[in-house]
Amino acid sequence: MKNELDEQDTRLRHYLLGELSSDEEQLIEERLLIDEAFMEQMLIVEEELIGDYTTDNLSPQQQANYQKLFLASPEGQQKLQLSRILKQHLNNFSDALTPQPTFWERVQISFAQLLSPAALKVAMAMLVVGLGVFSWWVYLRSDLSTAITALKSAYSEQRPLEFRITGFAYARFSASPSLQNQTTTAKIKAVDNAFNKLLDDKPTAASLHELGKYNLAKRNFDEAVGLLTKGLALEPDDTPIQIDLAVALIERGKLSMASGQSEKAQADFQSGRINLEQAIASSPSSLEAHFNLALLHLTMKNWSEAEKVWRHYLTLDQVSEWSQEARRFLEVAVEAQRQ
Amino acid sequence: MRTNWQPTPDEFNLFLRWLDQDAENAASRYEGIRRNLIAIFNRRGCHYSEDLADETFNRVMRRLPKMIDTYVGEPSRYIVVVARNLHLEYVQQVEKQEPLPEHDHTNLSVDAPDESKEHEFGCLEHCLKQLPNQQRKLVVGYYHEDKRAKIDHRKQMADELGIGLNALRIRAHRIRASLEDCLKQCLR
Repeated sequence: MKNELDEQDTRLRHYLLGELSSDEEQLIEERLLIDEAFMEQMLIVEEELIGDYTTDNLSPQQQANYQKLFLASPEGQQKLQLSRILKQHLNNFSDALTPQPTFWERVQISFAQLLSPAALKVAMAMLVVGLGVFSWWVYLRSDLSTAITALKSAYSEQRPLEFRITGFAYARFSASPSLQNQTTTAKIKAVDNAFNKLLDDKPTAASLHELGKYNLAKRNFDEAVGLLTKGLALEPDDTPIQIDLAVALIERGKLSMASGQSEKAQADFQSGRINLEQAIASSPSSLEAHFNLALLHLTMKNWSEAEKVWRHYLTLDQVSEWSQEARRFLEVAVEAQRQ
Repeated sequence: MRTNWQPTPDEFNLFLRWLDQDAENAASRYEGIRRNLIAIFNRRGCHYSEDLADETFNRVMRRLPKMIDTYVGEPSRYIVVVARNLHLEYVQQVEKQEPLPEHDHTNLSVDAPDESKEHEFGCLEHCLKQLPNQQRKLVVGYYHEDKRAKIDHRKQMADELGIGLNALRIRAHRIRASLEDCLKQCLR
């Protein structure tokens, strides 16, 4: 059994380094496609291979091969970065290896320290004040926090728009039909409940922003533009609100364009562009603003402008999953100019 | 490279039935094969692995009505062949394009500025704290960089846990995978 595992490890290592024949590769890939345990074994071998890469334990030829294969992909670059972080910093946490007191031992130690009368009085006073402040904070924040969490969770697997909504982690965008995902549907219902509660509260810039994003995600663009405009009026320097307002305007413009209202569409695109350029002026490193501006140029078929902004975006972000999309869009812009 | 062809609901359902007669199993197989196709394209250094996986499915779905009655064997074999052909097209297309600047692997985080290192350290600390005590101890112990003692140390860890070395390896890998997920979120 052990020998069999070692043999498989060796073959997987050769596969990952591109050292197998085409037929051997195909056999491995057929199995990787349907055998989850084999896929996990491949990931473990890969982890060890990346470890050897970072510690210079590969031959120069193998190093070069590996750079052209997995390490050339954005996921490979990210894995390499994470591996280096672990290699650099994990040794600093070796105190985790020394025996830690159990929960009950910690409780006993804490009580022994607290039970001197003076310390006990001070602790009780702090506890009362702390609980009061915490309850007040929870009262003010809970509905908004719940709504934000539910919103992000609902769109964690597939984002609702091709443009970037601020604060949303990467998720793929697809306009084509996919498998019905019941989990996502349930999550979206949870979002509706959370945001319905927010409607009753006195609006703040933050709550208007979240309500605006919620409507944006649900493609209620008129509503989103109204809410985000009000939010921006309360906090004129808030870059994320300005970026999301731009997205709402652009998406509304796309709808107008599709229904033949070209002038209306151009006006929204123009306002969207101005908002994005202002957002970039005040936050030059905002990835969301650059991404959306580049995508706007692509939407408007301003190919050379789009190429310029995508190239700039890729100098700011070379590793994230967003950058994969950026590279694809850059290709579209370059290809369109050739034609 | 990506075609505009999209499957009709009937073509999509035929494909699912080809994967498995049971609808639930078919959906789960579809998701699993898609995830693993993306992993394979990534290992070949592709930049648009998700698109390539979807295009693989599209091409299979397009040809399926003509070959479903005569094809013998596991669907995965056919899917892999289509994926490998698509990869060849991808390579040819990439070779034609003007390359983006090469990624400098040697500089990834090694020479990161101090503030970036501090951020990385902070994230690792945060993510390690999310792990239960036993898991934290296991992952730090397993990946501890002390080459001379590493093999002995891992044997000792496996003995203490009453498991074999391979089981320890899998356990460490799974904890590391969740640690890496947390790190990705934190560093984003």
